[in-house]
Amino acid sequence: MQESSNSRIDGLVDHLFRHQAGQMVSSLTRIFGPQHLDLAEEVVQDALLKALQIWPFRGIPENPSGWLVQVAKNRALDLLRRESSLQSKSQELLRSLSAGPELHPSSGALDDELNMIFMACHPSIPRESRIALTLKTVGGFGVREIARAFLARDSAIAQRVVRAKRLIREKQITFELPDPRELPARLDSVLEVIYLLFNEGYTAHTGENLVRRELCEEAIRLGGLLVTHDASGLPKCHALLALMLFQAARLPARIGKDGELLTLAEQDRALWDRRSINRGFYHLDHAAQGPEMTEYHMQAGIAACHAAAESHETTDWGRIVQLYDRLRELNPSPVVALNRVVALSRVYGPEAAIRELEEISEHAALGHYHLLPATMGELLSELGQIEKAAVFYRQALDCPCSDPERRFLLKKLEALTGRRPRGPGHPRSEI
Amino acid sequence: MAQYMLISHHPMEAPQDVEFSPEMIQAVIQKYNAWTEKLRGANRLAGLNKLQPEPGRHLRGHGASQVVTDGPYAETKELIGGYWLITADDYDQAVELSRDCPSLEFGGRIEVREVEEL
Repeated sequence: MQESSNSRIDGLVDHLFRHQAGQMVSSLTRIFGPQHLDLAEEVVQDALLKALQIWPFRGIPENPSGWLVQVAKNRALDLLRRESSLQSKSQELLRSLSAGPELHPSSGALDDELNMIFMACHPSIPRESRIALTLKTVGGFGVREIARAFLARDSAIAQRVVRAKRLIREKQITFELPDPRELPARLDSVLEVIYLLFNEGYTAHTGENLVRRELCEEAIRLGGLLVTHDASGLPKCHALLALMLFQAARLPARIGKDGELLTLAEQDRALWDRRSINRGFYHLDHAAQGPEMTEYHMQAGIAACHAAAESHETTDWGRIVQLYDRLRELNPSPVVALNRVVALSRVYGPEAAIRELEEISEHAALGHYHLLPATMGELLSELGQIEKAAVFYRQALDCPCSDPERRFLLKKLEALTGRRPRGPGHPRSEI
Repeated sequence: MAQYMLISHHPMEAPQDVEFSPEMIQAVIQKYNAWTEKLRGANRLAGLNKLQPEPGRHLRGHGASQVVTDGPYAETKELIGGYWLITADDYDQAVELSRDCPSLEFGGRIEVREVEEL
């Protein structure tokens, strides 16, 4: 993430308010108790609005975070005296709030944020609500921002957040990390939410908005939080983080000058974010420690192969096929099988791949998935079977897909019917 | 060259339909900062003050019939938030300098008044 040129002048780094809000809401939720999550949010919002009133006139303070924390503390103390529902806890809360300049214990705000994510991913809370709550609280996103990112209505997102909070009260969900027996399952659900978040930012499901980078960055940030803490710094967390870092590295290269999606083969690798790739390898290393091999491990390994390759042609496709073989064991989904076929075609040639592809085609689940006929079309065109390839590309266009994907398919079709394709193209299974 | 007071009026009720997310609040603060720094950098900022965001008090009349109430007037729906004092050649220039004041983006209005040299 780069700092905007303004941040050096005014002392406000990018997303400072967002991240500070996330930290403060988390700490205040611990202090007030999860059933008072609304109050925690209110206190934080008040502090930010106070900054909005005062800083334009008084200027931005030397220590913006410290200022916000102090105001939030004062506001929280006010609330404590006023809210009868908090009275029973008031002594310990007063002590908690008065001690020290921060809102969190010396072990760090980190603990509070992590606890918040784990709480948001409680099994009683439906998955969509977990995502919404995580982004609203730890993420510091507004409802409208979340709605735009997920192409949903504001009211839908607001409802998900309200629902999550209600469930937290009703089920009396606590703030501490779940006990050791529940922790593994909860951790898996946290990983799932983080990865869902990342994918939402990385891919487009409909329409023109291709890349929602801020979601990717947030997912990576949350993943980073996970690995810093002993209880959650398991190898598979490193694996997920590595996967996200490798994929995010490609973001600067994914969009062509006409706004269309570029395949791995077409991307200018000089634009890949080296720092992200290096971080990816660092975490991939940590992911390798320990016996557990998860899907995240396999996917991270595949992404690493791409990251390490100078060009599409010199990619270690053999290793990628091996990784897909293992991934298929863990996740026999037809989509994984399809991606494997594409890698396979690089190693064994289009004919072998077509045979495999015909077997997968039996799968009902791939019925309307445009990449299946598109991949067939690509393989056939490599073999010079232009008419047959065109049939499949047209079939692909009949399937639901986003506008950029549609344009991509049309481009392929025109290339076929306009002239014979020169060299091997590459089906857009991985971008 | 004269001094102009830019009086910031804003609605007492915050707009209900606009959600101020942390990111948005930061963006607005940064806009204010950029605007005032621009004025400061051009040596045009002679002063500024913020008023407490509350109705305050109102005095009217004198002597026995003087009345003090919680301000402002019952009919008013606006509050004065504060002011900036800038230097400019004339009203036109003062207005130009006020155009990108961020409070204008959020339902506020700026009253520009020349300060009389005494």
